[in-house]
Amino acid sequence: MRGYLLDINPSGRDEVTIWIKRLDGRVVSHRIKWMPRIYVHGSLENLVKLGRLLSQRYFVDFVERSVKPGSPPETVLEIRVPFGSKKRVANLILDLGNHQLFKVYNVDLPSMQEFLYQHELHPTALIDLSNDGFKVLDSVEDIDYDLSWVRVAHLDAKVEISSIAPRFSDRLEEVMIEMDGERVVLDGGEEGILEDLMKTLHDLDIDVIITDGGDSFLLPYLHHRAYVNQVRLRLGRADDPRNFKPSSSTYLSYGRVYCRFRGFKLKGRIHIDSSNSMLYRETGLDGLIEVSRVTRISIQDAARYTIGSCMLSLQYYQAYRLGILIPWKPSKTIYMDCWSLNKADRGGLILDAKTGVYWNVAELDFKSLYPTLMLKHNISGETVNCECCKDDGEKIPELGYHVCRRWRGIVPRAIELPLRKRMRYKDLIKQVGDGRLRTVYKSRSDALKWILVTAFGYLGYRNAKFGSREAHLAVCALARETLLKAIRIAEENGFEVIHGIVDSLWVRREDADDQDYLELTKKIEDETGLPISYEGRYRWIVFLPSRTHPDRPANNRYFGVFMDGRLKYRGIEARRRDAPPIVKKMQLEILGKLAEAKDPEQLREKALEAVEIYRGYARRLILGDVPIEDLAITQVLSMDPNDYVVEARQAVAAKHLERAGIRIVPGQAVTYVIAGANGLSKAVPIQLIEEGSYRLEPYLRMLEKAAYTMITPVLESLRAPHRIYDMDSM
Amino acid sequence: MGRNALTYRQRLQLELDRWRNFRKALLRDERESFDSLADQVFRLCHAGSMYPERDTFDLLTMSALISHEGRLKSLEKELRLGMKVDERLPIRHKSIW
Repeated sequence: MRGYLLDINPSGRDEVTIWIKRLDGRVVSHRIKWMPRIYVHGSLENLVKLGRLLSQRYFVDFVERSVKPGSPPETVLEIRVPFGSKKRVANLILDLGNHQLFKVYNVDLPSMQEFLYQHELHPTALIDLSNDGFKVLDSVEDIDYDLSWVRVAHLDAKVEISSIAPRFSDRLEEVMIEMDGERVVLDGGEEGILEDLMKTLHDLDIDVIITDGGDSFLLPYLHHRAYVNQVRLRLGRADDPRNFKPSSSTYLSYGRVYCRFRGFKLKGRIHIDSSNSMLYRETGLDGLIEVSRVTRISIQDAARYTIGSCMLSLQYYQAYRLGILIPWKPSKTIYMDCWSLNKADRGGLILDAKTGVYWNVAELDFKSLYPTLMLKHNISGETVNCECCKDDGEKIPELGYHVCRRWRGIVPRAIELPLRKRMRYKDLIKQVGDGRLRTVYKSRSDALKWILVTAFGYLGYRNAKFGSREAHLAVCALARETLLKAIRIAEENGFEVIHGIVDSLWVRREDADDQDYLELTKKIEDETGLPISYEGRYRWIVFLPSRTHPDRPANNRYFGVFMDGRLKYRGIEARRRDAPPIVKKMQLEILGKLAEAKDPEQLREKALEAVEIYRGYARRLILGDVPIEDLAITQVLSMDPNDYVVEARQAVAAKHLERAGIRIVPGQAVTYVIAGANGLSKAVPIQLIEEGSYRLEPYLRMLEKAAYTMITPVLESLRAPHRIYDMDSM
Repeated sequence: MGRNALTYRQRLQLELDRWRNFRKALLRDERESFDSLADQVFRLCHAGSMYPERDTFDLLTMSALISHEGRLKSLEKELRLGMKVDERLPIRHKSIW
């Protein structure tokens, strides 16, 4: 029997159910006896004793595995444990060994991933199932895999709301199912709706259900309504989880607070909550499936994992394949003195832009610079400063570290596939004419980009299994050297370097055209051996000064227009999440106006016209001619609303919602309008605001600041075409 | 990995903060010079960050000197004058006289 692997889930103590969509369209389940494994390392004598003890309850075996990447295999104890008991058994073993005799491995390797690794399987794989097991007929390397068999539907419901937000006790009014642009609305009595829903899902043979808020509300709510109406609701192809209570957890990533809900996973059918899946939100189903194939994580898990966890799966897979065990709690804190830390702990190189307007500027970006460096220089936790290559290892500039020549690191092995696939997708995007296919490739390439970005971040993460601080620092040093080299090459070829951030350069030569810039790109690529892309030539670009120090430049605050009319802007309000739409709209309108300018004289005229745009917006604001949604500010709560010491607007808005019965947890966003000067009217949630009741002054100030940011630098630079005290002429 | 060591930019700001009493005693135009010199030093952060083992004040001084050198050069160019006050000064521009 041939078919596609749709989903897998554990069933019972020692069984995995795999769901296969047969080529004829029928979905069948197949059970396989299998149990997750953990491994114990210790002296042989102790392992034998432990094995004898544990064999009364578990299957145990002695196998050969490496406990560290690159080290020779040793005898370890393999224990098969029931689903969900890895941690319990591991803790028991550690206790038995007094936390000294034994080390446990593969404990936090998720069981379903382990199953996929062991069988060399991946979600949506084409497989041939027979009595002697199954054969995988496609590969994770494939670019043009078939997904036309996946039947996707969007599910939503209308609730008879008794307050501003729906509750479990509210009656279900309608259920909407949308598939291929067609919409089915189920209404009538609650009981009937729920039964019709099951029947529709079955009749339409839905494989993927997409919801907005399915984990946090919709699915648990439907189940609650089913319970109240005594209907046995089944949204998957086997029984749904019972007594599911939505719960959330808050986590911090790159300085921002996020919130995640426990997943409501179905069996035999895939549920994706778009509001609970960063990957789906950013890259759609195409991106999500690409990641779940490449990283070998079931689709429902990949949708809910952080990108970092998805990326780790690539490393786990490599380790698993090479017979290397994954430590549970990596405990290798190596201390570093202040002096070396000061020398080594630096990020990428930043060459400050000189503020002002520049004409005929090219932007060059190194493609996936950090991952490429990791791959090219074999950077991994175990390869940097390895024991075996002290004398003949590859040297890292500035730091004096060395890299192993004898062992290929787990990290470079893991990133090779996504890196290679992403480059191929990017090439294909340029080649294919079919617009739909291009979007698919774009989503996949974007999804892989996320994986690659986190690969670097996890190198220096304290709980990283195959990373180390030195590896992280080594990549930074290599990146700095690369950018310096590129700057030198540009200068030697008569270009002026205006700005550089980590992996991007802005260069200029008055008479240069695209051909000249492309030649420079080629030269840098040849000399550094790293792929670089020519983003395009700006007709003009404005680098903005810092807000706090007007005579110092600010990095990553610029806007400009390419020769082909494309706009690019960073760091201005139009890019900020917390700016109200009216401010964003005005800035984009101003930018559109400025973009019409072809020479400095025109730019001055356009800048003056842009002042009128600002005035128009201010006038409408004063006259009250602005829809309230345009004034809504969305901000994420970084802590509990009651923990704010100062009366922050987002906290005030959250307290409003709390009074109305909606709890906002850290990491969730609130949308509010500024209505009064202080107290509870300071920020009123958009759900509770009355049309026209906003406070004028703060919005006027925002408009003014946003217009000032864009117009003043343009006018100023035109007033003084060259300043004497300028280092441009150095 | 989060950063543990201060960046050169932060170290520079700290160093300048240490001079606040000194700055406080400066007269207005002197204070303005101090501030504009500080801004010039910040323009050379990319180079300062490549020599982290050096004392911050040394880097600050060298950056200030370079900024002066640059400004001198552009002044010379502007004036198109042979400012031959000292034999050691490299003069690249021809005198208009």
